[in-house]
Amino acid sequence: MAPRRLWSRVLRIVRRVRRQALALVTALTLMGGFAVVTSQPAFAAGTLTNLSWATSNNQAAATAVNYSYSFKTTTAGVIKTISFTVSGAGLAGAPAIVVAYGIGAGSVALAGQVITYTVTAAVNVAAGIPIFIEFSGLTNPAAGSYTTAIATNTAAPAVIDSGTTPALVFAASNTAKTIVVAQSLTFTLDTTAFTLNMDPSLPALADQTYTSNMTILTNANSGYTLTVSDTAAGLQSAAAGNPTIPQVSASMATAVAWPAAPANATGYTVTGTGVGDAFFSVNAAFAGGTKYAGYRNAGDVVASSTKATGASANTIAITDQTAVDYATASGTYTDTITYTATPNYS
Amino acid sequence: MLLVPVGVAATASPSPVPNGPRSIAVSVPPDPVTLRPGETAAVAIRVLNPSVSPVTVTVKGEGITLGNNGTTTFTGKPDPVWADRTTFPSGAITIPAQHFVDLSVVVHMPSEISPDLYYIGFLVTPVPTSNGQVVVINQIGAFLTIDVSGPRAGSLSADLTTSGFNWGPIHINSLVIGDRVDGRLTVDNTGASSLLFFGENDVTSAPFSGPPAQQRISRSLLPIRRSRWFAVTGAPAFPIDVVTLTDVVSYPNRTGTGTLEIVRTKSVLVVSPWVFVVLIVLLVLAGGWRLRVQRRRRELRSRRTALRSAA
Repeated sequence: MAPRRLWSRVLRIVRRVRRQALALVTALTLMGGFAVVTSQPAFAAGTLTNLSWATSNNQAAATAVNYSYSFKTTTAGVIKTISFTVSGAGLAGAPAIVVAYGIGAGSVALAGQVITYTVTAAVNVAAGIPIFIEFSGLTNPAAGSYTTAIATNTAAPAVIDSGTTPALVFAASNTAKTIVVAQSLTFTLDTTAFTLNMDPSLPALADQTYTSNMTILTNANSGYTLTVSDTAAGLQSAAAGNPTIPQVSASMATAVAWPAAPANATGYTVTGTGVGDAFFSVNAAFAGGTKYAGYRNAGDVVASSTKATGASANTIAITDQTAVDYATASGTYTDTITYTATPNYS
Repeated sequence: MLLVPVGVAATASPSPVPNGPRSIAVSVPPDPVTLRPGETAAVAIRVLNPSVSPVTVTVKGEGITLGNNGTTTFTGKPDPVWADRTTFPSGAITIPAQHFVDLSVVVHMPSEISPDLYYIGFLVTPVPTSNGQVVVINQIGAFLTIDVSGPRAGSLSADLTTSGFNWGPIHINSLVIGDRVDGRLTVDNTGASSLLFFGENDVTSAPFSGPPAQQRISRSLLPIRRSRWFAVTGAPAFPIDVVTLTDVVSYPNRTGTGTLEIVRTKSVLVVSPWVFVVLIVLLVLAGGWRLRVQRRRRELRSRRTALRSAA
């Protein structure tokens, strides 16, 4: 009896192991299949793909021209130099690197028709890596059709990949067209002055608001900032003693909910919509227009955008609110509020 | 008596002076203006009036502060370096509706000045012409960039951080539960001159590799002691994969004949939330299967026992 029980237990273990091994093999096969599906496609080794060559000016013999080359590697290898051999003759200039993506830092030299980009520290570049290199300071050759033979090389040197760009035509009869678009900012405000007729005897007259709407458009790459400031004296009367209406808070950073009546305060809140600009924002201190800040002469940055607005303006509403009570001296109070829009540097 | 508050309410409404919107625009050269030490040159700026009524403006120089991530603010005071070296158009300048004026800012460069980029700030301010207790002014601040050519001692540093896994007090930087790695590349100017840099974020994954991904960072200006940050991301090729972000920042060397680079690399294990769903389902199935097997064993045992006792 005992041997039979032992034998059946052994059989059970064997079956279990077989099932688990089968499950493992299935899982590995599935994962392997996934890896095959997601792995990059194979290329013909040694031939660069997606080659292109562009120039900032195709006028024959033009100086200070930029050449941009882009291509994709097909063979993994340690690239030390990339040579760009322009066909024909007459290439000149003192090239410099404008940008180089997909390849390490390096230097550039021109010898005859060959522009050589030398990578400072040779680096292993995988297959399928897009490389874009732009050179400046070149002088175009004479009129004609030209191509550039591009080769990636090891330190030996031995060619890793090579290819030739489509032809580019330099012509003497061309009219070089250069368009310079200035960095510009347009700032529109829907009013230039307002007056609030206030009276502490009635809540509707004792607490009033006025909303200034503004729009901003800019092509500055890093967007703009909008600052709000007022005169050093604030909302002040010319009456005896020059009384003022106090600011609701010392600055934007200490913005508060608007005080309940009776109150003797002035301040503002900001809301905005960044139409066409996902990078637009109003300072969080205003809590979506529910908190109010006092004006200050030094100014506060109330809104900004970190990108150009594009063709659709950012719209910003600044609501000025003033409350008076019987502690507020009667008289005419004046102030000058300045909104400053400044393009950011990029 | 009832009419009184109504009448008061009617006069209480804000009463802006009857005038339309005021719009101004300022344009400056898009690229730095190259000047030599000791040179005097007029740099053109343009003030435009897109609105339907004339606008009168003044132009005055003011100090400028360049902050992080491209922010530009004015100091409220004349620039101590450029106040005596720049001449702005004087007086009030009236621009007819839908017109523009080209103005010149004359810059007198110091005879000794280090090669670098310099920024001259100015404000274009509409002159208030409306009557009202509260005057509102839409002012535009702008700046000119002057380039003094020559070798410069530039230096950058870079830092790459990733969000990682955060759950209460548990923080694991090298693990992400999600479908991608979100990171931030911060570049600081630690040198003695402004620099234009460019960069890229290369994403690879292992052991399951997908097509290489390259996120390019276009040429950006970084003044001295300022920083910029860029959002970088990387996606895995498989629900469980190690994603490596390799961020390269390149900038001109001292003479501008070549480039220097900073490389920052970060590897993060990315686990898709679906993996946990699949694991839970598998565990439930395994548990069910186990229970079923145990029940069958018990039934077999009881059947055998019954047979034995019958025998």
